[in-house]
Amino acid sequence: MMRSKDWTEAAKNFKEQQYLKDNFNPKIAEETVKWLKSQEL
Amino acid sequence: MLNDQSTLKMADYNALASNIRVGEQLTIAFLRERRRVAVTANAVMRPYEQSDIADINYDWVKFKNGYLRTITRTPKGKTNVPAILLIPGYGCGSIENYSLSYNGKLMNEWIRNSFAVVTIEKSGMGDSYGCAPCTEVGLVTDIESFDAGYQYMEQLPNVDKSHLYIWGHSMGGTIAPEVAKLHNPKGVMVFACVFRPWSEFLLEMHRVQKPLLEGLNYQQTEAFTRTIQKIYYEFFVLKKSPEELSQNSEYKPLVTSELGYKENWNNNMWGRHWRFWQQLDSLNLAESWQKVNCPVLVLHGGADYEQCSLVEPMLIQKTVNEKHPNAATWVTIPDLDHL
Repeated sequence: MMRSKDWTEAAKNFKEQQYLKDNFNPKIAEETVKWLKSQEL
Repeated sequence: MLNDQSTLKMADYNALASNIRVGEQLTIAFLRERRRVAVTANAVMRPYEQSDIADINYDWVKFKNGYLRTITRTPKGKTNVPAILLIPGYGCGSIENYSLSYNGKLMNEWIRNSFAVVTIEKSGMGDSYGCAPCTEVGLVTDIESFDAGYQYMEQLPNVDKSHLYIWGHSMGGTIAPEVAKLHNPKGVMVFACVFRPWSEFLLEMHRVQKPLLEGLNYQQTEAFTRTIQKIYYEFFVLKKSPEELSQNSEYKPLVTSELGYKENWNNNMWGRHWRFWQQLDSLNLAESWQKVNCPVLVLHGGADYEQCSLVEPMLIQKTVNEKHPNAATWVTIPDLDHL
């Protein structure tokens, strides 16, 4: 769930364990919250 | 040695340690500067997690001959809230570490928006006890454990029973419809998961990952894919064991390098028992998704080189909508990867 521009950068980020270093793409949380709220209307 | 029993492998240690409860006396023997040392102490528990935004409740759920640990995070001081069952990827990791990972970041956003989150261990993980080790069970057991988690969520006192959701990430997105079809959730969200049989998806994944991660050129990747396809057919479809496949001299090098087979191995293939993957390939996800009768959100990451195929989210959406028009929504986030 990191922010990576493409497969190559994603592979580099994984190798560097960026997921343990606060690389988190907030868009995934935003999309889920937006959808959840739409179900709760 | 732990309590006078040998722990040559990590699995041996985990099996013994998982049965130790707080306050129990235990003896540990080890070598220090070639001398055997033995110490006796009382077991101390790992501290319960604290949160500024959530009330955190630790519990157990009866599962087969033992119990699975659950951790439920409810928005602080709130009652009658909607709740989400979190189903993670395939690995044998404990829910106790979630707050430090992407799972924790995702959960915190849901909690800040007034959703409770239920997590449950896989068989034998974390503070569970009396259950078969995660590394020895198959996908069917994983599905059963998350089904137990859903049933647990249904009877929680502080959640709104008519507003229950399921989140599935990666392999969790395969388990999600298997659980959802047995219940009546308000909605299902999946991310980075497959739809097609695993043996079919894997071939496409190799075509992406072999050049990307191992530097193979496209002719080498072609040759690899053509050979592994034959092995996968016999392993996934004919249900032959890695040991049987290794008897074939053409297959043996790839059964060793790709499936991880070696003599006297512990059945661990890609982090799980090899039967786990055969069970995965047998799932009919078209059938399962059409039995899910609720809104579905399908998320895909444009930078995901693990679940690298646009076909998977597209087919989930089309399959759900064929049976339940407009129930499924597909969203691709271009700069999002798998973990």
